[in-house]
This record gives sequence, C-alpha cells and structure tokens, in this order.
Amino acid sequence: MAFDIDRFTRDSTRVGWDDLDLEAFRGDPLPPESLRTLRYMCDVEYHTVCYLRDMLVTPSRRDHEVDAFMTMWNREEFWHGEALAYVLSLHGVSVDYDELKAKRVKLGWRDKMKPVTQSVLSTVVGKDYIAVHMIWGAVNEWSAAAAYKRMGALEGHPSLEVLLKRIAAQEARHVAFYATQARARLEGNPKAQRLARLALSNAWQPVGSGIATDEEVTHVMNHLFSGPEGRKEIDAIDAHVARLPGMEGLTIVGDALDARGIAA
Amino acid sequence: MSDPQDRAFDVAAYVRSPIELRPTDLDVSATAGLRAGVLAVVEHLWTVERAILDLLRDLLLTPTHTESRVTAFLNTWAYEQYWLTQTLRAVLEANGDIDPDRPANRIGAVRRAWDERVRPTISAVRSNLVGEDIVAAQVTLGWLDTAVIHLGYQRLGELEPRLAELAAKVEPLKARHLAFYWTEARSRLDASVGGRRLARRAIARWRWPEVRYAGRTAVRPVVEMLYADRATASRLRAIDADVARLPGLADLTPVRRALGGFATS
Repeated sequence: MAFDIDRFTRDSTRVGWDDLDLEAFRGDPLPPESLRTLRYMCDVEYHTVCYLRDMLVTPSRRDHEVDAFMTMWNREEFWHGEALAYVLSLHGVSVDYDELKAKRVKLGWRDKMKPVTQSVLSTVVGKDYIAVHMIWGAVNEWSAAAAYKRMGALEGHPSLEVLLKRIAAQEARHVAFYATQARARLEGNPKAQRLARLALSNAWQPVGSGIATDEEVTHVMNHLFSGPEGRKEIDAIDAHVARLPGMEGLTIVGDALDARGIAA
Repeated sequence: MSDPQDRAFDVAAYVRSPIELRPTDLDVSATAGLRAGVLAVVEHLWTVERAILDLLRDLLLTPTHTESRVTAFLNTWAYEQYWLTQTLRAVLEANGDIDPDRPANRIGAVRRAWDERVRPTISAVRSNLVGEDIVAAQVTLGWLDTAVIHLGYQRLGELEPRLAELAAKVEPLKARHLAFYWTEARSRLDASVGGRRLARRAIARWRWPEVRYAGRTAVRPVVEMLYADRATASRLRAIDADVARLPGLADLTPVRRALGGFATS
C-alpha cells in the first residue's frame, strides 16, 4: 500500500470531541481501572514530543516526506492527549502543563541522554537506522490503534467509543506511513533486516514503558489485552510485523505480554 | 508602564485556533513572473522558515523539552510554519524557481553537517547541565529571529503588491508567535539571573537568519532589498529597542550589530 504524504498532510486535522456527549461521565463515571489506563494513554500521547526529539537527531529526518509526516504526527498525537485529558477532567483528574512538566523532569538523566544515545547509535549504524526507526514506529502505532479499539469495546460507552475510534483511525494512518516506509527500506536490504530484527527482538517494549512504571505497564496490558479477545489483537499485530521483509517468525508483542504474565 | 506586548499569552486558546496559510488560500498563480530580486527574497524566507524541525530539534534537546507549555506552543507553531513553508514553496514553483537543495556554500554545508550530527549531542549534554535557565535564552532568541523575519514579510508586501496578500496573511500568524516569545522571555528573564546571563550571551552573538549557513555574501542582497531603506531603519531600531526593554538586556543592539557586519564584510 502506498502512502500519499500530500494527502496525509492536507487532511491532517486535530481530533474533535465537541459533538460527543462526554458530559454523561459526570453522572456515570468510568471505573478506576479504566481511568488508570486512560491516564497512561494520555501520558503517552503527550510524550510524543519527546519521542520526536529522539528522532530528530537521527538521519531519518533529512527527507521531505519524513519531515512533513513528523510535523503532522506530532500535532495529531498532542490532540489525542488533549482529548483524553478532557475525558479525565470530567472525572476530576487534572492533567495540566505543570503536571506534565513535573513528569518530564522526573524522568531525569536517562531521558535527557536518550537523544544522545540515539544520535550516536544512528551515526554508527548509518542509513539503515531509518529502517529500524520506521518498523519500530509501525509496531508502536499498531499497538496504539489496537489499544484504543480494545478500550472502546471494553467500556461500551457510546460517546467514548466514537472518540476512541476517531483516535484509532488517525493511528491507522500513522501505521500506513511507518509500515510503507519500513517495507521500502527493508526490502532487498539484508543488513537493515538483520538490524531491525535484532532491535525488535531485544529492545522492544510496550509503548509507554520508558515513561511509566512497570506496574502501570502491566496494569494497562492486563486491562486491555488479557483473555482471548485481547490476545487476538496482539497476534494480529505480530502477524503484521512478521509480514514485513525479513521479520518472519517474530512475535515480539506476544512475547512482551508473556514476559509480563498477561494471560492469553 | 503597561505594555500591550506583556499581556499573558493564552497557550490553550492558541493551540485551538492555528492559522493555516495553505497554498490554496492564496491565488498563487497571480504571483507568477516576480522579478529576480523579489524572488530571491521569497527563496530566502522559504529557506529560513523551512528549518522548522532543525529549530524544534535544537529546542527539544535542551531542558526546554520538559516545559509542556512551550512544547504545546511549538506543536502548533510547527504546524503553522509547515503550511507557511508550503505556501512560500508554491510561490516559488509558480515562478519556476525551486531548488530543493539548500543554498549552502562549502563552509555552510560543513556547518550544517556539524549542526545536524555533532552539535545536538554536545548541546544536549551541556544545556542539560546548565538546566532550566537555557529556556530563557531560547525564547529570547525566538523572539528576535521572528521579529526580524516578521518585518521582512511586511517589507516584502510593500515592495511587491502581488505579495501583499501573502504578507497580510502572515501578519497575524507572526504576531502571535512574537506575543508568545515575548511573554515567555519577559517572565523567565525576570525570574532568573542565570537566564539573563545566558540570554545576554546568546543575543550578543546573534546572527542574521541563514547567515550561518549561506554566508553574508549570499544573504546581503536580501538584506539590502528588505531592510536597507531609510524608512525601515526606524523599524529595525524599534526591534533593538524592544530587546533592550527585556530584563538584563538593556544595552544590547543585536540588529544594528548584525547589519554592521554586512556593511563591513
């Protein structure tokens, strides 16, 4: 599937929720475990700007298409954060600038040095690094889309489901970008394939692992993906990954869940 | 003294109402056939503006990335800048003049490579050691760069009637960027001695946009066309005067100094 960057940028818009009856939450709130998951998702979306930072120091970005995509992607994800923050606010959970700042500061030196590691790593590896970045992005966006889909189905709240579907639809377009890029860069490039395989099988962790505690990650994975319905989504992601050039047999997302003891 | 520039900037309202200046918002074909000097100015603006992600990178590598108020602004800023860049590009295309490769001389190319590959690493380490004070310097630089380019658009609209519409549409966009940088600079400089020291050093070393990469010789014709006439001199002085009103920057005249550099080199 080809990805039309001009169409993507032209149609890129912030996710809207003004037309949705989310006020209903005031009388009929989400249960605490769902709020906990929603909070996690919100933090991950707001953190996109830091992921962007880590990418800007790599060779991935000297390409018009990638630059254009990253600008729009960064904005769309920010608005996912705003949308989820609004839902949280209806439950008395406030996510404001000061709080986000405190969280980012708390991440400390390990977070600050991430771009340095990325930069050094990408310089050592060279151009093939872009393939790794792209496949990594694809897996994360697949996971995000699956997470929103599951959350919508689990809650059965009609307005929330519409909102999460809108968010998931944008994530699906991000998937299309990353997967198209990854496929093109992996095809016929055994070195990039080996590198991507190595990175995914050794270093990939569920989205949000770098910013949330282990306990939170396990809660969210359990909440969204435990049981046969959840595992079906996870297996679908692994199947998508395995279809990319050189990735046959990888089951990184399922493995990550197994490692956390999430029941299938 | 109350100053309209000092009104608090509402980031939440800003991110909700971006100004999208898309190529389709302008009768681009009506700009065909611009004379060479004007076209060079448009190309200069395009080159400066499209460094969106370079600027984002430089800001995000520093402790600024934890400032969620600033990153929320930058998020929308990048979006606005993206469409502005596309519109400038469309004007260049309508004139059959588009060179996707940045116009850099050899030193410029080396500098750009350095800025892209090496400097980020050094800056990430150094600025994180310096800490939050760096934000004050960065928003002050952001204000100055934007102020000079903002005046450039105004002048472009005055010089070339066919670009007056473009200039008019850029006006509110840049005005909001300036308002954000100003409020941030003012309060952060006010609050921190270290911030004032870093900002002073950065502003004292400030260079005209794009000079670092293209060199003064390449940028000089643009500067002469946009900023050299007598009437513009007072508007340039006003920018320096604004800088001098910021806490700790009283005796600096970065614009005058940078223009002097064009005259003597």
